Amino acid sequence: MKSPMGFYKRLRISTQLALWFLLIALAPFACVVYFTYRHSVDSLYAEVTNNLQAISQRQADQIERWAVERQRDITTLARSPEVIQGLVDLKRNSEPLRDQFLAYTEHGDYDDALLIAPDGRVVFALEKKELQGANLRSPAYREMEFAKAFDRSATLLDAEISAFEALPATGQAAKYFAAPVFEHRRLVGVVLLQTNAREITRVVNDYTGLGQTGETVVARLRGREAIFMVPPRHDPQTALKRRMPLGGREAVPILQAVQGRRGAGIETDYRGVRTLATWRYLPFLHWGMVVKIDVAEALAPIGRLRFLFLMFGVVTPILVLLIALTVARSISQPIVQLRHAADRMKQGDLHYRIDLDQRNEIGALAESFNDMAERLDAVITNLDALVAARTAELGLKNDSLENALRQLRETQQQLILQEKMASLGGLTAGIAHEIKNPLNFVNNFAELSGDLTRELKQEIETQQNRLDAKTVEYINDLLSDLEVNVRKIAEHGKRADSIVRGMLLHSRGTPGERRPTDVNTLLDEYVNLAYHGMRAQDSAFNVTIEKRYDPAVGNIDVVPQDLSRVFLNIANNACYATREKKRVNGASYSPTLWIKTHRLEDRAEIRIRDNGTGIPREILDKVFNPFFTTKPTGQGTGLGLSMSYDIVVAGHNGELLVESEEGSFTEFILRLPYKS
Amino acid sequence: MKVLVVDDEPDVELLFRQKFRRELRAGSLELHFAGSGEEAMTRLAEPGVAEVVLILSDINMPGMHGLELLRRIKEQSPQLKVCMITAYDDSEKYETAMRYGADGYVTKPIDFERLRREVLHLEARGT
Repeated sequence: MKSPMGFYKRLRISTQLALWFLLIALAPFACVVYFTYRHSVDSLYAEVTNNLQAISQRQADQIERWAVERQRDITTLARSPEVIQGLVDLKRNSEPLRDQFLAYTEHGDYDDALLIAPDGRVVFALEKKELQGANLRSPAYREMEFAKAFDRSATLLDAEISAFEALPATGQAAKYFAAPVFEHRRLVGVVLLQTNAREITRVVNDYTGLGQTGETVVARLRGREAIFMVPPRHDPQTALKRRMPLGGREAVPILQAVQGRRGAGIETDYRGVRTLATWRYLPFLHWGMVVKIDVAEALAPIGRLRFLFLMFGVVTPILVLLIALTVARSISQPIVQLRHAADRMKQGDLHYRIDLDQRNEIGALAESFNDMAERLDAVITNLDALVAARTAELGLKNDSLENALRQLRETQQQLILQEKMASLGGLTAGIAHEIKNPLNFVNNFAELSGDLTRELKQEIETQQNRLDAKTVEYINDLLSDLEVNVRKIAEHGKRADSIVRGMLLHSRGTPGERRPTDVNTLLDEYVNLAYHGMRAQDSAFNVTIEKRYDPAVGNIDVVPQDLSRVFLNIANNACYATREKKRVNGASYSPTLWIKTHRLEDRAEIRIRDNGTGIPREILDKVFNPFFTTKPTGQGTGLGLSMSYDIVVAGHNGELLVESEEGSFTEFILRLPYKS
Repeated sequence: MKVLVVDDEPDVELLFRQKFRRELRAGSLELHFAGSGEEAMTRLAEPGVAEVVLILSDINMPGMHGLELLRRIKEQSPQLKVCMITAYDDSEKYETAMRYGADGYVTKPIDFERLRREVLHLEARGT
């Protein structure tokens, strides 16, 4: 991920946007600047060049005109009679000649005038009197410009113009115009006018339109060098002194010009400065002419423009960057806010909302986000409520499951008990039957033996007169003992018989017949029976019976014989418990029974409660076991409650529960379903 | 009146003989005993026993069942009176006995006074 793209992707959105803004804004800007600049430079260059060329043209015209005028002057002068006469009549009369020449020197810018004989002898000199009589062909003058001009003119028989020459005396530049003088087609001499560089310098040094650095330079080729004719602006003392060798790297324009070439361009001048120059050749004078201006000045507006553009180039990107950043921030800020909001939401703060004053897509996004948060909040709140509700439901279910489990356990215990009792029942039935037969014999034979004993006693009484009294008494004693024994046998046999009978009741082969029975009536009847039964045994016994029968209980499909046995049994026990307690507590205790019925939704509930001795906790779960009894031997078989349980639970699909507190109360609760 | 008592308990004979001693002495009752259903069927064919008019039979016996005996007797000689004596006080056996045509159903322990009355009643009716 170290590619530029990767780098770009890691940038913040605002930075990315700012970069794009810069690119979009600056690319055209740079193009415009570039082309404007180029165009400005080009047009400025063209303008300056045109200007230089115009100046060049003007000055060239002026210089040529000046030279042509001078040539005309000399030509005219060569034909004037005074000059011809002067040369023909040597020294005859120089006065008219003098006047003629003076007219030129006063009106023109001539400094001197010479008349030279064809042999080189100076016939007349207006100013330089020392030259009068001197021969220009002599070695002393031969190399001087005016001697050369004379020589060429006399030889070529035509007007001649010398180059500028620095005068040895003054150092002033001098130029000579020479023309041959003819009389009747015969060369009689040469007239020569000396002119100065003043006019040329004036023209050349007219810097109008050339600013601070512009100038005109004129030079002439001599040998392999260019010699400046007029002092240049930047170096006034160098006229006729400065020489630039051909092929040099500097002063390119003037070297081009002196070689007869014409052109324009940016070149290095004699000073080594870059200039914008136009150059041309002045054929009449054999001069090269350069009009130029320093690039620095000529293109100064370009510099200003460049500065301006540079300023733009700096200021604009900064402005663009500022705007870009502002815009980018305005775009990325909401995104940052969104992210912040998303983070908050991630941390679980669903109440956080984005506050954006924007009506655009981002505003819409923020709105959607807020909606989403709202919905999520609602959903989660809902979910919380749902979870709470489910938890509560689960709690309830758990409770009901626990209840179910408890009931299951109870049922399991009941089942175990039932199974136990069923097998016990089977066993007891078998035992009972096996015992019953021999017991019958015991009882019957005991009865018979009793009868026999009584018969024997009667027989002894009737026969006592025959027997001795002592024997009778002895026999009677024995018979009395025998009688007692037989009675005891019968008594215990009957007891055993009642046990066996109880056992057999437990395991009756076929159940009794069910029929709709008014349970309230049945209950009342058997409770009363139990009470009276107890009263029959113990006349001192008394108990208050509180009855509250719910008439809604009505008829239930039950086996009345079986159920009555249950009622009787429980009521009997209750009475027994109160009697026992009374025996201990005496008068302070008032025995009470509460008999209640109550209609439940799908079953009837019967409660038989006594405030008797109660059942100790440790034996409370054994009371339904067969043969379990707390009564003294002979008073209970231990089968009553076991049988009752069997009848209620197995026989009627009901419930039989017991609640008790030792010394306080015992309550049996029967629940009988209406539909079994 | 001749009565055949069918019971697998041999002591039944002793008991019955003592219980009905007066009737036996007076000669108004003649008791015969059989230890099983099969024996009872054989005895019924014997001379002297053939004149039996009442059979008192236990139900629960090894071999032939009392009720089976009842059914056979009633098949052979419907005029014979048969009274079932049993320790089982259940309606199913009672109903079967009645369906087979039993003339009485007595549960143990035997109430001899009642049995005596029933026997005497039969005798009075039969003669």
